Amino acid sequence: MLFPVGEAIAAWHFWIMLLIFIVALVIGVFLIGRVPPLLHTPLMSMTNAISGITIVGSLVAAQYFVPDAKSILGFLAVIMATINVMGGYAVTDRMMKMFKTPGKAGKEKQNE
Amino acid sequence: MSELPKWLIYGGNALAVVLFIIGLVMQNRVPTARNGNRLSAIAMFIAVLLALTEFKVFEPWLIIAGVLIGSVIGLFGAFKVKMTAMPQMVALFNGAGGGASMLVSLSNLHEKSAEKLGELANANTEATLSTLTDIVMVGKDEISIMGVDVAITTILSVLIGAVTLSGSVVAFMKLQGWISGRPIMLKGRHAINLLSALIIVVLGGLACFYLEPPIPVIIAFWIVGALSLLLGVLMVLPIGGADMPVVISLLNAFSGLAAAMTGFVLENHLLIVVGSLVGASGTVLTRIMSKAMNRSLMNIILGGVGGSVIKVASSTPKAALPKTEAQEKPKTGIPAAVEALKKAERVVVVPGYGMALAQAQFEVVKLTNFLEEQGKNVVFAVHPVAGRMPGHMNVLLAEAEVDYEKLLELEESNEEFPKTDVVMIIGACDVVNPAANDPSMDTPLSGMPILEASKAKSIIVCNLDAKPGYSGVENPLYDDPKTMMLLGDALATITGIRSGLEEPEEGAAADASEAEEGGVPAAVAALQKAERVVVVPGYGMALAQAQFEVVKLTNFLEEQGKNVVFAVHPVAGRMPGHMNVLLAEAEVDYEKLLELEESNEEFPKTDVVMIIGACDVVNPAANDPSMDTPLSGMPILEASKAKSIIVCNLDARPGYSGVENPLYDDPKTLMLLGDALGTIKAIRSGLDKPQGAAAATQAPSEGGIPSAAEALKKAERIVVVPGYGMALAQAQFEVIRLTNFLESQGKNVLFAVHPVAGRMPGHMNVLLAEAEVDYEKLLELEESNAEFPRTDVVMIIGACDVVNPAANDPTMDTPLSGMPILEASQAKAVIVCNLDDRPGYSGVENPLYDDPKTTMLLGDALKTIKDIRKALGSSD
Repeated sequence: MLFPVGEAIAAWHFWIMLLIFIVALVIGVFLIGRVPPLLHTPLMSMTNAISGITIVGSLVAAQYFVPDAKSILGFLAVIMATINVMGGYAVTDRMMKMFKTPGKAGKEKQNE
Repeated sequence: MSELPKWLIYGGNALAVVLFIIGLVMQNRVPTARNGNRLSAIAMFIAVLLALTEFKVFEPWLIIAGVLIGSVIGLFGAFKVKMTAMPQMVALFNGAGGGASMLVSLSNLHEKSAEKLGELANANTEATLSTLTDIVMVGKDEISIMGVDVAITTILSVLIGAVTLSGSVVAFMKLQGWISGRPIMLKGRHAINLLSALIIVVLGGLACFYLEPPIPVIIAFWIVGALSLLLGVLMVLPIGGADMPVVISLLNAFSGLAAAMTGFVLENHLLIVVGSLVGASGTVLTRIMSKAMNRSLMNIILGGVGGSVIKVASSTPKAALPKTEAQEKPKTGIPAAVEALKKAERVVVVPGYGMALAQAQFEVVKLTNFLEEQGKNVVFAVHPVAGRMPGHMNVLLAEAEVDYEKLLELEESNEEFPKTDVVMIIGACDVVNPAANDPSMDTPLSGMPILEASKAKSIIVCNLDAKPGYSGVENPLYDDPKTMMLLGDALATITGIRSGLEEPEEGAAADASEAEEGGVPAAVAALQKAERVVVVPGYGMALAQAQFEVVKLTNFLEEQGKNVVFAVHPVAGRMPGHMNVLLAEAEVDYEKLLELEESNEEFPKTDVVMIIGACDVVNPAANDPSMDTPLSGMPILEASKAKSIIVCNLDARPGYSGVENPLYDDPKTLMLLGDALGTIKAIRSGLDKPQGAAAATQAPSEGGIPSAAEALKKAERIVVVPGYGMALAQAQFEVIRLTNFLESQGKNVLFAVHPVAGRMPGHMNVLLAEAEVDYEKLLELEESNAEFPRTDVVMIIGACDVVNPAANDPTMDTPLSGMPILEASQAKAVIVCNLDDRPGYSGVENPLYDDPKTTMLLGDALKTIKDIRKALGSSD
């Protein structure tokens, strides 16, 4: 949990989460509207990788090595979330590598 | 493991959120985007580490196995996928994320219910209360598996996650071509959707308010999951290929929302924040995409666009043309058939039992393969009762290795015929007998659904005889003026046609290239004259894998001093920014990619627009207020405003929207139909050849210093590239006299200084400063390279390696390879004042010296520069 939740505000917890959700939505809309169309594919690919944040939840679900439904589902979730995260970031990096500034084209080649 | 202080965990999570946000902010600009992505990955890593530290007991075997398996799959996909296949890869990754969110929520549900079952086994069950009021009164925690809020968010998480998973998989299959990219409209899908949604709401409601006993609740949630998977499939199936940018953005938003909902379930703030960032991002992109397609999201989700062809008034002459041609032709025998097939673009083969009898299927497929190689579209129309058993023809054609996607069923076939140039009927009679549809006749066939071959523009019948078929009803089609009857053994007839096609195919190839000569050479001529060229790429370019060839062509055009940019429509291709990625892959400088508004400002100034595999996005019908088409009001690239247009599309058919493109009939449009890759190659080689000739004619006129003086007189922007040779010749003062004189003529003169020109860092700067050159005129490497494309004349004075374009040629492996150079070759003309034309220090020959636009003035630079200045009319 990001913020400490004391007993006193436990009853409000759901509403706090809802507030966080809405604020984050607004921030997201604000941020994305400024990205140029040129970068829309890498952007989408990157946010796609970010949606793999659910891996955090999947780790919790798969923390015990027991053959019950919870852990098996958690295990599958870990696999899928990892595909999302690893594949997403790697493919984004691969795409962004191709966008070169004119002057740097030579240098990049040299580095590779 | 779990003993990290609280503040560290909170702080770490907050740091992760901040890094995610900074990563997103860094997407605003190209230079920072890549590091933004890496920052985001680091944030993810921090989040994962923090999650691990909160475990009470740590048995990480499932986690380690899962992460290993997932990493292998994910990284393999990421590095193996071709750039053209990027949309489907992104879709798959996205689906995996949504699926993971769904599974996490279900896993949490199982955990909670297992706990509850344990409690129930211990507790006195009589004390438990079961009515809604009791739950409210007593408090949820004492009795139910979870709170109502958690139950609702679990349902949402499962619902959205499942729709993301199955929807993404269907999108992947469509983009990959595993299932048809066209809208697939299942009958009753709306009813199924509605019913599923209803069941989900009811089950969800029940589960929320009667959260015990646990087992039925779990079953209810799993049913919700299964129905949601079905909803995802049904949502994406009816959506056609070109609407994919919208769908993929939407699924992207869903995967974020699913993660956020999972965050509610787990009471994990990090998941909520990050998930909703992604949800917002996907939503914004979806809005941008659907705006760019001029469709509402609802309209797209309801699907079905792209099915029918809408005729635009101006298209009638085009449609009429092949018809009249076909009618005028003497229709005798195989040569006539060969002729018709050569001209045809769309061919439909109708096989019948006669084909089976003549064992002609292999020969037929050889013929159709040949036709397809010629770029024609060939499909098979299979009547359900053609042959002697259900699917008989399908089996025969499958045996001959016909792709089953080319086998059309009755309805599909009948939609196809009116668009068909030539129908070949092979051993079929009754199934194509139009008498069946004639209400004035009462025959055994009356009312039988037939293949309406008579609607095609011309017909070739390869039957044994002209006698009626099994039904005994005469076939009026045989007497149709547009029908060619080739009676006899079908095997022999088909073989005859194929050899007829192949033989004069040499001739026809010549013919075709002659016909194209109207095309490609005209295009070449237009491009040669053009100064401003805009390329409009579309999905067709992606399909033809033509992006590299296109960029080769544009690079060549730029070397000729032409200005080339790319006009990218927001929804060109199959995902947002699809064309940008392809062009970036082909190493196009992203500054040359214009957005919609910029492009439309550019077109009126443009000499030649090259449209490569794009249709709807340049369709001027969208702007015509008198027409009401699916495109009406869609923002388009107004290519029609350019002085001339070259269209390199596979065919002249309407695009995804089904709206005919009036641009194709514009007198200033050159249509180069066929494979874009081949067309572009042909144009480039066409440009190359006369280029050599032009260079040859230029060469004699280049009488050294006078022509250099001439070039300088005309030039407005001049860049001087000094090298060690200038230092050796002590020519810097003479150079400055020349440049001062040029400036007095109102010309703009700059110096391009390579960091390693000369023999020490900043050597040239020192020499030029010595000659009192304003340091603001000394450009560094990047500035210089930005300047060259605008430069009229580059004067190279005693420099060689630092301007050697071989350094940038990836196909060459030289000591210079990869060295950043001054790209003097981008200027319109080059004057080289070197002592000799031998290679520089690196020993690598300089291809610039052989460039037709280069004037070589060999000898002592001091004298050469002085002579040029005198030739320009400056006195001492």
